[in-house]
Amino acid sequence: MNEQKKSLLGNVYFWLMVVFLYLPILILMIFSFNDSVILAFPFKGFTFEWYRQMFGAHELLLAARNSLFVGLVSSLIATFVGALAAIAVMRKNLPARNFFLGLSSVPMVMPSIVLGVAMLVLFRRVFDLELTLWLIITAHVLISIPTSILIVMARLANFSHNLEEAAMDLGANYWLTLLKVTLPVSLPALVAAFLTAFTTSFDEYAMTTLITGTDTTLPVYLYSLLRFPRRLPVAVAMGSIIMVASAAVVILAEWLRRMGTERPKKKELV
Amino acid sequence: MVKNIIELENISKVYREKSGEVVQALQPANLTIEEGEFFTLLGPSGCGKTTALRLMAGFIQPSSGEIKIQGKSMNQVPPYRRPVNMVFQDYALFPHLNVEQNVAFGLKVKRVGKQEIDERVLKALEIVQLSGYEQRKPRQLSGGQKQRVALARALVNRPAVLLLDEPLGALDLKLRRAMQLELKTLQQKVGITFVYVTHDQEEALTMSDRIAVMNQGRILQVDSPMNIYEKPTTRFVADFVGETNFLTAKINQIVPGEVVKVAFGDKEVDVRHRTNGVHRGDTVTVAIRPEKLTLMPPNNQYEALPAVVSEVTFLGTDTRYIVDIPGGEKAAVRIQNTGFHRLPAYQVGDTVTLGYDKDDAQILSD
Repeated sequence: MNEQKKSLLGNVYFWLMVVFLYLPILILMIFSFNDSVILAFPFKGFTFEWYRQMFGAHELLLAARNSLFVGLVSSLIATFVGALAAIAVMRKNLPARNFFLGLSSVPMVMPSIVLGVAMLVLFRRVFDLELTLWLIITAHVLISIPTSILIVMARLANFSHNLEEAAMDLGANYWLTLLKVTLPVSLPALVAAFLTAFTTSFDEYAMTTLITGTDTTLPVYLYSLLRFPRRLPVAVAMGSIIMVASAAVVILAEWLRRMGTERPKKKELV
Repeated sequence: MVKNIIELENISKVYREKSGEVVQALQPANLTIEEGEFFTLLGPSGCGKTTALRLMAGFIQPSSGEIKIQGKSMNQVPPYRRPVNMVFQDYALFPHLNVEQNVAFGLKVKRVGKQEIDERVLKALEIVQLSGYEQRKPRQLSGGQKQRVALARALVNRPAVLLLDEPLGALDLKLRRAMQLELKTLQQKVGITFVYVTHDQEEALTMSDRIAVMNQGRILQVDSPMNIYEKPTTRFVADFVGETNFLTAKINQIVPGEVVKVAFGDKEVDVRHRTNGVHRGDTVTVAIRPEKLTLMPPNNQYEALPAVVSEVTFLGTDTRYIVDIPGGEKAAVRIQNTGFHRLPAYQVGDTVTLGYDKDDAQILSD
């Protein structure tokens, strides 16, 4: 095969991937402007009606507000706990380091539906708690901690342990070192961890639906909308907005992560 | 009177590996470093030199013994309260701070007044010739510039001792040479005691007032660069610093304080008597540097070793000969290519006389 054919094949492959990945999303977005309750071609005409209805739907907005609240609080907690865990794990002398790391990443590999059932049993049967947003927050913290740890760890591994020693050598005690060096140096990772945790929480359905009481989050509410065919376009409109917002957040997180890990070459001339 | 600024008394460091294996990073050692000197810990990697430095800085605790700095015991003092500062091998500049903030870090955490900080930072950057770079971030600097910032950041605190852990290790050869001179000049200018760790023997010889040569956790010899080179007391020191011929010989006679008569094969020659603990009949190692040997035409009036040239290598400034000596060993000889000495003076297979000054040969104790 010559080079030209190879690159042609590569191009075809690339564009097929793009189409498979993004066409459904694009179609969803197009239909959010379609002037018909039935999501089918041909296109009936352009309308903002669904967006208008969406902003008038009290329960939908409440669910969106709940999701924002749950997302913000759970990601803050997950980032904080994850960062402290990462700092602890990066110390060479931590006993049972690998055991601890392995244990903390269990939620990442556990199917969220299983986690959801487990939590429902725990919250309702064992502790007999009301299913409030705070329980959803707790659950979201749990599933976001592993990624937070990994992101902050990657950053800490990337800068030398010498930085902390240098700070102490210059007269900073442990807390001052943490405050003036370790945390500021990890800042991009902290932001990235927060944004990743936020999108995880904002999108979470399978587990959340099991432990939702009266206050519901957005994904759970949107799914329940599907039972009312006439309301479907509103769900599509909301879905489109979430898509765009989530993509923006993920891109921002990735950009910050790269900013943070950017390192100059080892050897340089003057 | 010369004051000792650092005293290590019976200091040792033992590490326990995960496998349960015990590693003796530093054998019990005594060492005193004098105020104002440029002191170098020299040795191959894993010899314990960095361990010794980190013990002084306080990053690790000794397994036994006592560390004193300015006469005070430092064993219970954390790194942030010791009157020392360190320059790290990878510089360890704070990436989120600019040059000025990096240099000011130590003064800020010690709550020095704003105006004084500004003045001292300005001065420190001036000393390392980095004025005008205040606002740069470390990633915008070259290796040599980072090196200077690291120096300024340490010196600005006016430490009693500056600890330097292979600070030139990451620089290329040419820049390294330039920085060696600069560091030495700087040390003389600021008058601060430098404790310098390196595995580069040339660097150690160039810069130091005194050198401690280390190997396998032991301090083998502490002496001036000249004595380390000219009068190594152990085979390791002679071998690690410069090139040396190690020739096996038998002691025939000892005239205390004068000469030792040693035999290579059936030929007897004199070596200055300096080494105690050797006896008549012992088989010993005689160390002599290639440049201290010379070749002469055979059958001259001097009593010296007959030899046969077996290899000639032209090196530009020098010519290196390998000669066979009585007893079956080979010795390397380095002769400077002066104009007088038309080259090559000797060819492979020539019979020559190997000459040397009896003061230049050294009988090694191990």
